[in-house]
Amino acid sequence: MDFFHLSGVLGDNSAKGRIGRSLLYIFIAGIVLRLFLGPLSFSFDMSFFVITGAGFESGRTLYEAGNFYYPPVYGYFLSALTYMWNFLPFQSGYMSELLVNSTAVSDFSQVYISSMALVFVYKIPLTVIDLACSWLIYVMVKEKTGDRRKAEIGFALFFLSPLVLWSSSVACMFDSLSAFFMIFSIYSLTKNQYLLSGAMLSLAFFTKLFPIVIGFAVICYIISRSEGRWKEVFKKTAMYAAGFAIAAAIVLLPLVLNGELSSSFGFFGDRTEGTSSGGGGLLDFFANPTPDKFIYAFPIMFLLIAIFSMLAFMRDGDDDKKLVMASVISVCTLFIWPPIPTYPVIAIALIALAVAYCGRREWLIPWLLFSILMVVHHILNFGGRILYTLANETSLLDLGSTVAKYFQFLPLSWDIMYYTLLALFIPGIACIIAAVYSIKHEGEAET
Amino acid sequence: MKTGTLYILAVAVVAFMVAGQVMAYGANPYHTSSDSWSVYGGIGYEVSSNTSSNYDALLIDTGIYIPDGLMIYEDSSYVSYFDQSYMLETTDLLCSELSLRNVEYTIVDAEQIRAELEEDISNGSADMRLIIPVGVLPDTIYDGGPDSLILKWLETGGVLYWTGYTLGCGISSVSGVYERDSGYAADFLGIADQDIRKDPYVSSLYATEKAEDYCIGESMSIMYNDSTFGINTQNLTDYISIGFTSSGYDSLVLAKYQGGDGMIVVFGGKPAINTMPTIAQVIASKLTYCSVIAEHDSGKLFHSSERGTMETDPSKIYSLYIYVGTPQIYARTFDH
Repeated sequence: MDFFHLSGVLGDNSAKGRIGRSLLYIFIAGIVLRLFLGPLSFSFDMSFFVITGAGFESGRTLYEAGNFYYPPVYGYFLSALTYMWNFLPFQSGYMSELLVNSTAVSDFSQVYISSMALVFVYKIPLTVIDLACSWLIYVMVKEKTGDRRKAEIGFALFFLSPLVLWSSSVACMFDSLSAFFMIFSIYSLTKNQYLLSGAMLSLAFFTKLFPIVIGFAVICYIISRSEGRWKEVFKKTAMYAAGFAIAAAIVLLPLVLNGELSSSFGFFGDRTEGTSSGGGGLLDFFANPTPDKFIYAFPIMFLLIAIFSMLAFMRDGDDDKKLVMASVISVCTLFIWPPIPTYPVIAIALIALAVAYCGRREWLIPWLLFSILMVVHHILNFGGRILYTLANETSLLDLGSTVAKYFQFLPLSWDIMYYTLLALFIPGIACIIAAVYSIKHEGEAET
Repeated sequence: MKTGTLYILAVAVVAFMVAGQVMAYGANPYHTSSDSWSVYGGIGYEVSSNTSSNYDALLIDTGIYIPDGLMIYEDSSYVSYFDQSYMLETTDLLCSELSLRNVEYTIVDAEQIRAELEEDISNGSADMRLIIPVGVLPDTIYDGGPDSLILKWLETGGVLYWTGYTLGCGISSVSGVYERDSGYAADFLGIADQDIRKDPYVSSLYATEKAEDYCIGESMSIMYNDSTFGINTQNLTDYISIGFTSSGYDSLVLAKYQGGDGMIVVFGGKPAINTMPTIAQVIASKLTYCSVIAEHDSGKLFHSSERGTMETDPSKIYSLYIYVGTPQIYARTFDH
């Protein structure tokens, strides 16, 4: 109720009512789209969360079952959610011998098909997180601009983004949680809550690492807000760092006590180790831009992030807006190298703020490119596998022929994916162009 | 939003996260257990869980006695074909999977295996099983000759679980791995060397056709298809093949040792983190080369207990294997 009250649904004049209805329509559209996508899921990726959940049920810790390849924060959420799901009478899924094939060892993940019940139940918290992140964007934009329409645009740009829809409703990924903490951090910072902001960035970092790149923007913001008073800069930075450290301590304590700290970052090595065996020249390097090669591109990105952040703060204007712009540029710079398609969800959240709050419409182009190209590439990557649950539990499709068709079209998919992977450079390039444009025309934003 | 509301929201989110932390690392809220007892003409069992899981109870006529305990070979000072840190991680996971299935194990190095095997041989019976997950046998128990300790141990009834490379081919020492050119298949299984696949650097082989005893694997939720070092069972006599087959090579074969009472179980793939649950499942169930599934019950647990009875023949050796969950969250074997 409170949510719609804030949005103006219960407002007392007709204009407010109309605006409130817009938000309600966006909300309903987002939910309907998520329900429509509901039966689709990528069971292979889901299986790792299922194994981790089963690990909890067998009395094991987050990393003990050996299948959680992320920093720990979402794992803790998964632990709490697993406990709640245990009060629902459904099976998590099935092993199907139809998925045994000559291309891979048939471990659990390869032969697992999620149950329809799990597919829907699993997506409820992901939808809530999407909603929470969208709502934070809405609240921040509305508070900063006083314009409900802009706030609704911000809400819609995240909640209805095809990439966000895809990430949480088909890929079953939790990138929105990282985005939520990051937006929370930025919003808190603009409200001078340094301790809280640091803590939230810490949680964002320990959810999916990438948000840490807004660190430059944060430092620039603190310096700018302190107007050269270095004692104040030190005090605010110390508060921020303390918040970060306290949250990090809460997150990492059980891992340290259980000797699992290295496991919690082990995934980073797993995802970059393929690079070392890549070989080939520079042309090969760019012609096959797999996400694991990101590590080689990172020094350049790091430099760009630092330069862009400083440039963003060297102009006159509102510090809060500069923080948002420096953050969006920093995060988007990270995705110049083609990422795993769901990663740019955090960029979508910041772009929503850049457009709705800062009035930088040029960022709609990267928004569109991320939203479409990432999803197209992932669709090709997943292929017919996202239909397995539907085929297994309904008469709409036959599982055997769905599996056969997936393998039949696999060579073609790989051929096309070569080009779609190269196309993933495009959003990053668009971001750089948008960043340069935004910095150059900083005072010309739509108001 | 008011600053206070912001803090309330933050506290609520962190509290939810901490609740998950506590459940994962502190107070484990889950409980699954089972029991079994003798009844007139058979056995009874009970399985209970405060989770929402399916369960299976398999009465396996094992044909032969299988000891409870298990030795896991791990010696980082001995060379193998696999990265040491990867093998440590893999072994850790195997231990974890065995623990949830209530299998007692000890980790042994090359010298400790020698001592254990010598003791078993002098006692005339093997009281522990052995898994070699690294695909090579340490030179403390195998020198390639017919008098090797491992072969004597198998003769007395030892049970060897094998994965990672061609059975019996590689002999490991602290300085390297020596590969036998021929005769290894005959030593262990009494078959020709070409009946054990050995071209790992050419290609992996993932089998797709069901092997002849796949129904046993299926009843245990086992779908293991890595035949990279698989076995051609054409010339074997006492065996079951419960995985998949391609190009004549079976992925998961349980066979009688050619020179005595022992058993060799060959998982035909490389050691991999995600195949450890399958290996643990086979070990925990005490499945043998002459096993028959006498009865199979299955059902659903939802914060509940289920009971059942199964008929047994007093002249046979049974193990009742109860496992819960997909993937497994609990298992236990009862000897009857």
